[in-house]
Amino acid sequence: MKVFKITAKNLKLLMRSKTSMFVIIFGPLIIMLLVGFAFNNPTASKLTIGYIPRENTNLTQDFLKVLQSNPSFSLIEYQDADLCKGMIEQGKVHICIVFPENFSIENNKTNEIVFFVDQSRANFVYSIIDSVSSKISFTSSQLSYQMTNDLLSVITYTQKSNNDEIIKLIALKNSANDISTKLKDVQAKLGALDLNQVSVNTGDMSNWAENIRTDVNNLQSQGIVAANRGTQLTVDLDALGHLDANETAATNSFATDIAIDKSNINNATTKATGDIDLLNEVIDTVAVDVAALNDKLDKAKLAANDSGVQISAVQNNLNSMKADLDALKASIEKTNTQIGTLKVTSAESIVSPIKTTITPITTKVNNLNFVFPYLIILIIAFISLMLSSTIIMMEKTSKAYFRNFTTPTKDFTFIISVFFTSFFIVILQLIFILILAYYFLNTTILANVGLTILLVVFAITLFTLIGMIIGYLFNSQEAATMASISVGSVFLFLSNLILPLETMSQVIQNVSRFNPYVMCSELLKKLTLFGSQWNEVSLDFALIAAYIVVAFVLVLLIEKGSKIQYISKKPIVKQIIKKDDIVDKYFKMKSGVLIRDEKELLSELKKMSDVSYQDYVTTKKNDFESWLLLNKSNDLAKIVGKARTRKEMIELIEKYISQAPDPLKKK
Amino acid sequence: MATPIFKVTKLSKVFDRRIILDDIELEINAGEIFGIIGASGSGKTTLLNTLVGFLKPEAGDVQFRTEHLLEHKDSHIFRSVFKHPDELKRIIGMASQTPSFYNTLTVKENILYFGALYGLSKDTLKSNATTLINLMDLQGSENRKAQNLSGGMQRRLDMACALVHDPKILILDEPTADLDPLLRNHIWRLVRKINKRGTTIILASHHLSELENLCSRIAILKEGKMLAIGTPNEIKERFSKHEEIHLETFPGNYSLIADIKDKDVLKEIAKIEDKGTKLVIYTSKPEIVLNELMKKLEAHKETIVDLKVTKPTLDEIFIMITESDKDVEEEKEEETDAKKKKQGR
Repeated sequence: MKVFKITAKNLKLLMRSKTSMFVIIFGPLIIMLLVGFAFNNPTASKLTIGYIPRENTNLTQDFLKVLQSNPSFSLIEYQDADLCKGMIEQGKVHICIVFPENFSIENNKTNEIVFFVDQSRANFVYSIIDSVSSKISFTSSQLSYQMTNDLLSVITYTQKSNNDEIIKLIALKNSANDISTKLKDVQAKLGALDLNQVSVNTGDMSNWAENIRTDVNNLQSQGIVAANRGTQLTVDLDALGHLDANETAATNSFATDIAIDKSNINNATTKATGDIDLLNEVIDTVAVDVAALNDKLDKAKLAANDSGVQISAVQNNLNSMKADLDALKASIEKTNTQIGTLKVTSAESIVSPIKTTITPITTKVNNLNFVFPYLIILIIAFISLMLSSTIIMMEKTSKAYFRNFTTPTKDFTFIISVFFTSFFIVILQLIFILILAYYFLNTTILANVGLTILLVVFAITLFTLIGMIIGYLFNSQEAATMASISVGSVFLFLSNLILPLETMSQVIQNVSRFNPYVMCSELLKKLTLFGSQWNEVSLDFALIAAYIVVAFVLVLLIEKGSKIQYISKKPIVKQIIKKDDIVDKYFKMKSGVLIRDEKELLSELKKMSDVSYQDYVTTKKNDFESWLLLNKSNDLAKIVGKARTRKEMIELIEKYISQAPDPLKKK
Repeated sequence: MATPIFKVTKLSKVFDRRIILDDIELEINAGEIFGIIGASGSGKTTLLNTLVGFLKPEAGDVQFRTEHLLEHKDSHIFRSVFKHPDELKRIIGMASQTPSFYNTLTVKENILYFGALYGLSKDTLKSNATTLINLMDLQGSENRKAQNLSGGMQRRLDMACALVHDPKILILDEPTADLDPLLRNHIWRLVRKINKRGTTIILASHHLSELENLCSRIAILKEGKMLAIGTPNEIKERFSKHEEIHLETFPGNYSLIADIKDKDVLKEIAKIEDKGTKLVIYTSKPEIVLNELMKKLEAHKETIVDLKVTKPTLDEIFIMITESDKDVEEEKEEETDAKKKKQGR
């Protein structure tokens, strides 16, 4: 197939051109390796910090120790701020720190640390400021934290103490209440006591005791009578003689029992009489005691009245004390409530109320991992731009270029062959770079393989087509190379890789969003670092595809123009801008020059000699007049017809042109 | 009867407001060697490029007979080269003024590559390549890079690349430019060889004397206009009825010899050129002039070293045609200057 033959020929030519080989093929590989090694450094940039201590206070030393602890910082002491600033201008120092005099933490004192930086290093200055000031801020925060912590501790202790006191107060109040209650109780009991005199009727008691004696004697008598009757019974029974043994035993036992009972009655009577005597004695004693008791009751009554009065007084005091306790409790509670309204009680939250945490959205930790997508697209862009334009320039500047036009091979075939040649070489280089990156730099873009490959193909296609446009537009290798590098540089500049876009105007920022380099590198980053899926990136792919279509159409058009330019030696711009009109409307001079209008006629009249003029204008003829009449410029034809000499004709035409109405004004 | 394969009708081409080709009309016949001659800038290359369709004219057309009809001599079907460029390209081969091949490819690689662009099969390509290498005397150099070939070999390689697909028509633009006479001869021999194989050849050159013997017909271009077209003899006849008397004498007082007083003789003399080493007299009646010359020679005791009567070469006719207009222009300017001086401006 012709495409493969032409592609093979292109590859052969490239391989046999040593300069092209080195510049296009090995150059980017070397650059890529160097850049890779340069970026493959997990540690931050080394910063040289100049400092002016003014006074070597403890606080200054603390800050300096913190800075010195960072291995990326190299500290140099200066005695003078101007000297340090001078070092920044010379590029020997990145930042100067001026510590205040008497640098210490005191009440009502503000300490200001001043930084001097070179703002012109726009891509680095913020990193410097961030690195250093973050350390300073961190130390300052630590001091604040300490002081705030102390303050909060005191408040907390106070609050706790207050709570303890409140508990004690409550207990105290409860005790007071308890006492008050008990006192009331006592007062009530005292009031309820019956301390009136008692009277006991001992006379009646003696009488009753005698009555009892009488009754006991009666009982004895009757008891004995009963016993005698019982005994008489047994005698009677025995006398009867109708009893068996058992009955007899029983009768005998009964008799015995009666005898015992009788004895008992007598004993009991004796005892009872003794008791009655005792009872009489007791009654007498009781009478005496009752008299003494009444005497005591009278005294107790008096004492109870006095106690009641004192208890009331104590109760009043207790009530008053309770009220004071309540007030004290309320005051302490109020203090605690106000302390409790403090919402932020953590020292860290007060010192750093808003904490910012930078969380990487990927797990990559190497600088190179982050910039790798940008580097890959950078390599693709530059190689594709330069390679495709070089291939085309090699063809255009080659002696064989002309012969290609004589063959029945379509231009499209040549275009596709150039594309395939460039594509093939870039793919090979890319594979090689990726292998090197994987083994030496421990980085890869193989996450999300399918979409990544698609993007790489799109990127190579797009930049190859742009390179081809450049190749077809320009006529020399140098111009094409310069244009390729310029275009690549513009793409690079309008991206975030060199300078932050935020430092540029809004217009530039808007334009950069459509920068093919930015689009491809951002998309590659999304695919390799964030693992974005098709639904998240389909629009980006569509946009790049649209770019490819537009670029391809431009390649076709510009190639056509380039071919015409090559054959006709007419620049593309002139082909577009200036079309040759139909020959018939022209005035053909003998020199071959064509005159299209009065201005060109004037110009040629001024150039030609009087002798040549006579070829066109004699007494018998005026070719210029005839031509103007043919072209229906009757007014000018009349004027031209009046002229006898060349000079006169020039003057007449100049006058005519100056008097002609301005076509713009007419509108 | 000659069969035309190219027809050019009222062809005009303009570049940057300059008319490069002005109403050109010609026909080129199959099997002939057709020469286009003209001074530098006369439009030869433009005409060739327009013939093959590279340049679109502002007016006129170029038509060619299609390949499959070339064998049918009675067929009158012609197609415009601008509407059927691919068909034309299959039957033409072109070698431009500058040899056109890849310097870093070898002879064989160049021939095979360009052959592949014509869609030739592998076998045909190989066979053609071998034939051409032999035809162009490039044996032994097949594997040499083109940039390492001599000038003549490069020119032959160029022609080989133009012939790889065995075209019916071969177009050569200044094929012998920058070559020494030996190499030029070699190239012309090759051209004849190729023509003998049936290839029509259209060539442009300003080596007029060489074309005289090579071309079947010649077209003369001057400032984009076709001055003449015909066989070399026809052109000579048309533009110069004179013959040239070349006279070399000793001691060679040519001014005395050229001072002819006889009016009858003078009117037969178109021009006398004192070349310093010889005298050249242009006349339509050489016998009358010779008679007078002999008398002069005897009178001035001149001895004839060399004397010949020839017809003018194409070169001379061309120079005559070209310079005649220039002389008129220069004379007019001199007259005007003289008038101005008289009037004291």
